[in-house]
Amino acid sequence: MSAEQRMRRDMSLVDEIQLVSVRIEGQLIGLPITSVRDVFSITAMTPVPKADRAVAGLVNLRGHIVTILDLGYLLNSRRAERQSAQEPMAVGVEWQGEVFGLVVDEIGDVLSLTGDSSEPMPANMGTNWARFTRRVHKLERELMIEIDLHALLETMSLQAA
Amino acid sequence: MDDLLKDFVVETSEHLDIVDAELVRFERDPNNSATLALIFRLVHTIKGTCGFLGLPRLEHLAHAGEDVISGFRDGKPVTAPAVTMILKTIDRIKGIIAELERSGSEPEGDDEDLVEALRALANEPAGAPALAAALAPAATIESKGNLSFQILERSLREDEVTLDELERAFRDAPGPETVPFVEPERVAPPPAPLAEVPKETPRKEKKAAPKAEPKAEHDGGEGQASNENSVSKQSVRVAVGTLDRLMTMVSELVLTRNQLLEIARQRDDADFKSPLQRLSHITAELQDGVMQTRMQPIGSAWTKLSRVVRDLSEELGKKIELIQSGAETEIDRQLLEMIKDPLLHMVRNAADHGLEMPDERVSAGKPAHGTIHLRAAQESGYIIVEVSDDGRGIDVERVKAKVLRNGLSSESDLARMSDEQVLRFVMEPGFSTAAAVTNISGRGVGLDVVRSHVEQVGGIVDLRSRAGRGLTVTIKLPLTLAIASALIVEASGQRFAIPQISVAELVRTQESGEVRIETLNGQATLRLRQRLLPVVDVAEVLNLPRQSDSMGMDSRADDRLVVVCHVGGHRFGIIVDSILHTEEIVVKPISSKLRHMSVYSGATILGDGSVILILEPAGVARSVMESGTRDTAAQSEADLAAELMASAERSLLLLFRAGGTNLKAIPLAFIGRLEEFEHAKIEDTGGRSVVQYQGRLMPILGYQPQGGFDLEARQPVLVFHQQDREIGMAVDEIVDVVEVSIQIDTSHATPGTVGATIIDGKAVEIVDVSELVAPDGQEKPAADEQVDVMVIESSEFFRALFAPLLQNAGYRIAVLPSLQAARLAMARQKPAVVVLDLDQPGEEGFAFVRELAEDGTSPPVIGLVSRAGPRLIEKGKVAGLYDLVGKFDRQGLMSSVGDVLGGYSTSQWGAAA
Repeated sequence: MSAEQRMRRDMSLVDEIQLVSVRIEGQLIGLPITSVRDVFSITAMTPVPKADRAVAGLVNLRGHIVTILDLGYLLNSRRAERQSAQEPMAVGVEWQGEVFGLVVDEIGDVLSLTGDSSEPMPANMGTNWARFTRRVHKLERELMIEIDLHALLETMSLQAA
Repeated sequence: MDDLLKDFVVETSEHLDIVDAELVRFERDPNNSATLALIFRLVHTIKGTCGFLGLPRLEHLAHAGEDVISGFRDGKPVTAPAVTMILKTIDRIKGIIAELERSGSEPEGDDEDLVEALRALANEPAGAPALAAALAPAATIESKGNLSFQILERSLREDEVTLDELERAFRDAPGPETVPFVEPERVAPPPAPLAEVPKETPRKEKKAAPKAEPKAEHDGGEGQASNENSVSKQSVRVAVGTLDRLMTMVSELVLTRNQLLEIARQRDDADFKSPLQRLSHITAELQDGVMQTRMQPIGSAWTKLSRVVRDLSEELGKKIELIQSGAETEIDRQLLEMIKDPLLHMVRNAADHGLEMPDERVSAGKPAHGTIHLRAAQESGYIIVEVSDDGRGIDVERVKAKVLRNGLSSESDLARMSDEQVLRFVMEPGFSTAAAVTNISGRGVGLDVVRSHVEQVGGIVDLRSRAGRGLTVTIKLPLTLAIASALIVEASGQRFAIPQISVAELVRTQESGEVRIETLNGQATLRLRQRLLPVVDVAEVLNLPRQSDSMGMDSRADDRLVVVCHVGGHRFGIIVDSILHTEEIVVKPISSKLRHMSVYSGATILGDGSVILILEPAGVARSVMESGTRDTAAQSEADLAAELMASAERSLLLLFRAGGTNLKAIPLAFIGRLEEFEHAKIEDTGGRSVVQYQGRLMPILGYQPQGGFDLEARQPVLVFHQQDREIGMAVDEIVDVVEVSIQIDTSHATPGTVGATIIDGKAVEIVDVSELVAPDGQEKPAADEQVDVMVIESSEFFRALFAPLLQNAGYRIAVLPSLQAARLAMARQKPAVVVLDLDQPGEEGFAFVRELAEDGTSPPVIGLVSRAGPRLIEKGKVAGLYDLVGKFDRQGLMSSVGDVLGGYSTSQWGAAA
């Protein structure tokens, strides 16, 4: 199989990807639906003092302690305080046997997208963006960034260590 | 692997462990026929079982071993080489069994070497019957068996058989017994083909026999228990995994129960409450029950140790006795697994490095055989495991030197540390590296591993060393891993859990009370029962935002709550805003994203469903102490140099002002307590100021009654102990406690002072406390009276210190400024003990000691030095000193003097170090 063929096959495999669309810091972001376990609202979060800024805190999710991560900190170096009145939502993802919650501002529909609509990340994005993002999907109204969760969580533990 | 084989492997491993331990015991006590019978029976069982499982290699080995043991039974002397040989055989058998467990079949190879050696042992002509016995064991056993081990603890049940019957069954079975004796003179044989042993078909009818063999305990555990209790109809084997799963479920149940209870507390629903109450009880019982199934006597981990010690004692040529107490103490299986290795480490360390060689011990006045004491006990919800030896201990001075070399701490920090704290460095990872460690009397190898293991399971390690008299390592463990008792505290509105295991006490501070927080050099310290403890504010350590309503709540504020923690020799306080309650928590591991944070050891869900973080007290303290160390490290070189210069004579001085603006000082050691009294409480009786103190009247010296305006104000008072009463000294202001090297200029001594010194560039008068602490009206003893203690001290300052001290204790003393004076005085007086200052340069002091020591009738001499180093101790010992005490070690001096006058003649070595 030639390199070109293989690439074409890969493209066709990812052709029909389903992404959960969420909004973080105003940016539309797509999370692969296969890695999303559930969606829950964050109540009674316990902050972890002195922890990495990306760790928002711990919550009790049906008897399990779930670490809540704030993607905004990872993706933007600066960030305004969240000032929404309602309880923040989180998307639960599982990584290496542990459940993490990613804080999101808004949860939208699940979108089925094809590879045709996507493009690799533009080169002028920040380093973090380049590391955690897979590509950009061109939706009708705006652009949606597809996040590479594995890369994201792995980088975090490297930073932590 | 079929079930039969599996059973065999498990059972045999257990038996082998027991044989290991029993053999060691047997070697010490060869006349114990019960032990011998047990060993014999076990080996015999192994042999028999191998026979019909078709394991020729094992059988061959066991058989050869059995012959030797059988020889013992017939009265052959039990020699160390013989026992070693059998232990070797057992090791080999263990190896084969391990392989058997892995692969299901015996490994290739042969054991002719061992068999040869065993056979040689068995055939050794030791008394006439040896050979005969080896050749005809069956005959002897039947007659002997009845005598030695046919002692039943209870009558047999219907389906049971006696051991003797079992024996007979084995004996009667045709086996390979006769094979090994064919070629006794074969030397270095070629690898013998295993097929030579004709045994492969298990005989069906014999299967019942090993099944009836006592299976002692439950839970796959082994233990000495099998020694006594035999049949096991009451117990079943349960897979460990099943128990672990049960435990996890119970943990979750406890959590849910807690949540329900919390809900019930908020609602007042009687219908709901009583069944919940019941549920709560049952849950608690279930928790106990499940925990019980996971419990094992700690002795099962010790059985291996006696073997280890025996081997080490052979290897090292030391005589070592292993004493065990509390072996029946039960401990969670999982915990037991976790501490097995640390225990082994500790025992090895003790045997290898702690205990001295026999001749060395004898010359140190100790019995030739060293003792390692294993102790276990359950104390207030924790398991305490202790390994102590009576060896040389750890030399604190050398640890210090090493700490400095490795840059783990600074000289000034070290000087401030207690010996206990210094010892803890031995457990620092940096300490355990390579050969450098062996310098510190060889200890420290692996101690950091011990610590990390123990801390991993929420335990605590402590070291106590008495130089020259041994080392004690104590491990304190929670009863179980999964559920821990914790103190729930609050700081800046956030709740945290602190594990009970590390909490020593809770105190409330008051700005003007006995317990208060003061700042020293910008660092908060807690004054608690006249000891200063470092304190850390959780809110500060964790950068928690101060709550707006706690304005002015700085570290000096009134009414703070301090959780005093005791973690591995360090005591420190953790300041919290409030202490809520204690709760049984199920410790959940903390997220991998937070695991690097040493201040948290985990997280848990409370009864109300909220998640809280579990603080790791050691981590919290470390985060502060470390930064402290860094600060000190940043001190200028000059400071350090000065520190080094001055390290000769250091003492804690209390600085205060009284009657005038200049500073006065009193060595802290002489002050009993610091108190404050309201002026209104201080009364005047016949021109003397007194105050009611602890139900008695205490005179206060130097008190200036205040004008009638401010009766609320408080008067700081230094309290001195005087024989059986207290005496107070009013001061204007207590300034500080400083550690300084005292270089007193006695030429400026005025009445009431012993001289002056310079502290931080200011002149400070050192107050003469002898008047304060000396009993009223008692004069200096007349020179020619009978004296108990003769103090020879060149420094005016120390003379002034020691005299009242000893007088207070009720001794008649003579104080002399020089050796010349002492020699003269000795002609007239015969003191019971001489306290001699050895700080002067030159050998004169030691010469004097030798002089006295050679003259048989002279009193023992206690040496006084500013700093007792190992070299000095050695030197003093050689010269014939009774003891060596630090000059500021008031307690040490008093106890040493007390020892002499109390008629104890044992030397007090080590008290000084």
